[in-house]
Amino acid sequence: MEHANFEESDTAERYVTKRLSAEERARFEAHFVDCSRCLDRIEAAEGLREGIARAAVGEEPRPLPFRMPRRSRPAAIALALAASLLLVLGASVALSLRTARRAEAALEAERAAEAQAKQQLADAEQRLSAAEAAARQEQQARSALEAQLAKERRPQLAVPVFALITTRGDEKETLRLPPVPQWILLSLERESPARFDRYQVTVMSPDGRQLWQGEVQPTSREQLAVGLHSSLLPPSDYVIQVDGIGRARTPVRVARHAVRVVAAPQATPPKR
Amino acid sequence: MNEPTASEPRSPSLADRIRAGDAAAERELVERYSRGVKVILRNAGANAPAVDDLHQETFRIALEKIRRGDLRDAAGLSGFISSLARNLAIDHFRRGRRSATDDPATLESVQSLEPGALDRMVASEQARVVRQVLEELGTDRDREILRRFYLSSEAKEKICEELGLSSLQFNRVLYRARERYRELYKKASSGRDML
Repeated sequence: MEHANFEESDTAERYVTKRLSAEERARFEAHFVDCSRCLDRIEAAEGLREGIARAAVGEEPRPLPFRMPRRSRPAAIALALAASLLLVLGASVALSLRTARRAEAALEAERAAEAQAKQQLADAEQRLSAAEAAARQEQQARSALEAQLAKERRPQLAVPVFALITTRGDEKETLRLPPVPQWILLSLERESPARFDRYQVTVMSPDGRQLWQGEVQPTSREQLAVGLHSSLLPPSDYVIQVDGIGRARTPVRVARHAVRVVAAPQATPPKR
Repeated sequence: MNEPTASEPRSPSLADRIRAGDAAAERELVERYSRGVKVILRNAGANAPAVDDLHQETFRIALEKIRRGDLRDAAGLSGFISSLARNLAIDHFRRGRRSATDDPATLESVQSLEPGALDRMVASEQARVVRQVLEELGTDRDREILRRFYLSSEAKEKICEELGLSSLQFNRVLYRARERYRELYKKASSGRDML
């Protein structure tokens, strides 16, 4: 039954010209390996295929060792002419097909290369736009920073000064900071007699979290001046600790100030 | 005499006889499957020296496995042999193995006038026979059918559609060409064998 199916569907020819799927091929091979009729058909198809291929590329056979059957001269000439014509025709058909296939493949390759080049160009343009946008953003940020820096560099004609006096107990000193953020000066009392050349000033939240710390050299015998930006001290409670720095660089407590920062009310314009 | 088809288990006891050490059974195995194995190897792309090499290898491994009892189902002997041949060919190409027959030094040593002349003679006969077959077909259309089907590997359906042929007409051309080729080639081969 299976043999009849193979015969009817030209499986032998499709096998020789490699047009079977892997599954069909395996099934057919398992059959024909033991089927002389299928093998005859396969070998005939193989022979025809190879012979046609040789004829198409114009392979001329060498003289055969056995005698050719006798033919009349004119018939032999006609036969030779017909054979030559067939060879030439076959060769030109094969050549045209081959050339056409190569041209198609080359065109396909060109199209693929063009598409790739277009994609690369689009990608490059996209990257360029992104780079330009980033450069613009950077320029804007730089301008803003420069403006800010210029503003900060403006001479401060009226710098609020807050003097903190060492007190005993937990009494808090109130600092009314101006509503507009600006630099302020904290004037801190030194110990008496003054023992240190350098001091460490620490600003902490009431729970001991350090908010700012800096080293200060005294500007006078009695006072330390510390310049801070008021934005560092939004309205809240703080502890400002002053430590003297000894020779071994160990801090020695000098003063501890509990302060409450409040915002000073905005000045109201005079009524007309 | 009706030839039994390959789907019937012709010699289910062939594997048993080989396992029992029957040398005649081993020879029978090779004779029965040799031609089919060579077809498979050629189809897989092996050239003549590789076909000989792989053909030997196929039967060496097949006999080894059958003796060892690796073939569970005796009815699957044909499938076993065919897939073994195909897999060996695939493996051969995958590894790019340099067998003794691929070694240029060995090739040179076995090249003699006799094998070369025989190959040329066979190829000449084949080409001559095919030319005669093409001439006898009579029409350009029939010659075109064969060229397109065998040389360009075009599908039968496409050829039929473009040339306005029925499946039956197509099959008839192929059948005539094939049968005539076999007849002429057989004559030429027997003439060669008589030399």
